[in-house]
Amino acid sequence: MFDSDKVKQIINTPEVTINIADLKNDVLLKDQGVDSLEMMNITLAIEENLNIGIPDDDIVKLSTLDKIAEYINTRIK
Amino acid sequence: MIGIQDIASYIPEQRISNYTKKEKFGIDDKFIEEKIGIKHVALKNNDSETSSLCIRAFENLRHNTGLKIDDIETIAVVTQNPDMNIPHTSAILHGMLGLSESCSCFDISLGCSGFVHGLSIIQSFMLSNNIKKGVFFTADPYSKIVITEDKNTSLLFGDAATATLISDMPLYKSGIFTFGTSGREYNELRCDNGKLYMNGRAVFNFSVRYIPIDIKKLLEKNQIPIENINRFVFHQGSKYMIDTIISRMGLDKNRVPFDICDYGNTVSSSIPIILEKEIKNPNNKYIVISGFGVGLSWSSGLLIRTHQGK
Repeated sequence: MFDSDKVKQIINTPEVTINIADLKNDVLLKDQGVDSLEMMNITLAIEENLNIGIPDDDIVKLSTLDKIAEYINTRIK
Repeated sequence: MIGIQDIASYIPEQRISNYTKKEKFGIDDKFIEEKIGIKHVALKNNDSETSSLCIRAFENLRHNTGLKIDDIETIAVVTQNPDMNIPHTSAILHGMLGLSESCSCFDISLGCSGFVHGLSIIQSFMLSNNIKKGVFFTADPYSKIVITEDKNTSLLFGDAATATLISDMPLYKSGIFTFGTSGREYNELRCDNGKLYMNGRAVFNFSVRYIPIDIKKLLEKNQIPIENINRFVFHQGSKYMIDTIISRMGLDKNRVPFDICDYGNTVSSSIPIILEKEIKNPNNKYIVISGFGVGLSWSSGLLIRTHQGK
């Protein structure tokens, strides 16, 4: 089962410039300085690590770290 | 041996500032400067056509090289925004320049991969037909098709043109090229009814996934270690895209120019505009060039400084 801590591990790649450790789990990522470009590397890290494709329409579901964990759990069931 | 003798560019004087779009698009200075890396985009005059941008670049090339009109045996223009559908823009240019009737002219319909792909095409054409002097143009003014209300594109694309003299007195020859196409993704960057559409995420993912692999393949084909490469000149899509490729490949940032801050992503002109300066540095013995985008397609090449360029 994925939780927000596991999500942080996956998305903490060199290409993501924001400090992942400082992110709060239940606060909107865009309110924590994660812009649209940063989200591209974050979603790419999830796709490559878990070998899944995330459709464009699903990006809106990845609004917080908690929501990302929830989404991943529905995808890897 | 046929190769690049010299390159000249033309970037229109008019600029649109991305800072004036901050409120409209909900972006800040950091996003402009550190993420997309483009403060201003260049804009051609309304009455300028693709061919007239080429003429300005050509004038600069002729000034630099003393090139004679009668010596030009072939010209090619990389564009997907021609003066008109028919005839090809290179034919229009032929008339404007008063080139010889024996001069061959053709257009190449490619976008951001156009300079690299097209360089291979024109060099091969010249070699097989014993042609000694040709001029290779890039000119793809996206201002014709960008929707100013579209955040995905209006912050990025600028107008420009370049003219490259390809001759039997090259400063740089080419190694083996690599090419590729992912046609199933053609929809992600297209022009419909005169309007540009780009899925930024799809193009970003494609670029950062395919290009590191392609560069590795290029170096293997040319049997040259990565440590020997003096410059990696990537298509200048955006700062964030180049930074991601640098990170994924573990490259030294100092070997990867990024220089579009004041004029934007000029499509197929982006690589030759950077090369115009880089080929003048005699320490740049090996330059990797890599263009990627519309198609979606990509092409990479290795430029090798010749003994002439010592």
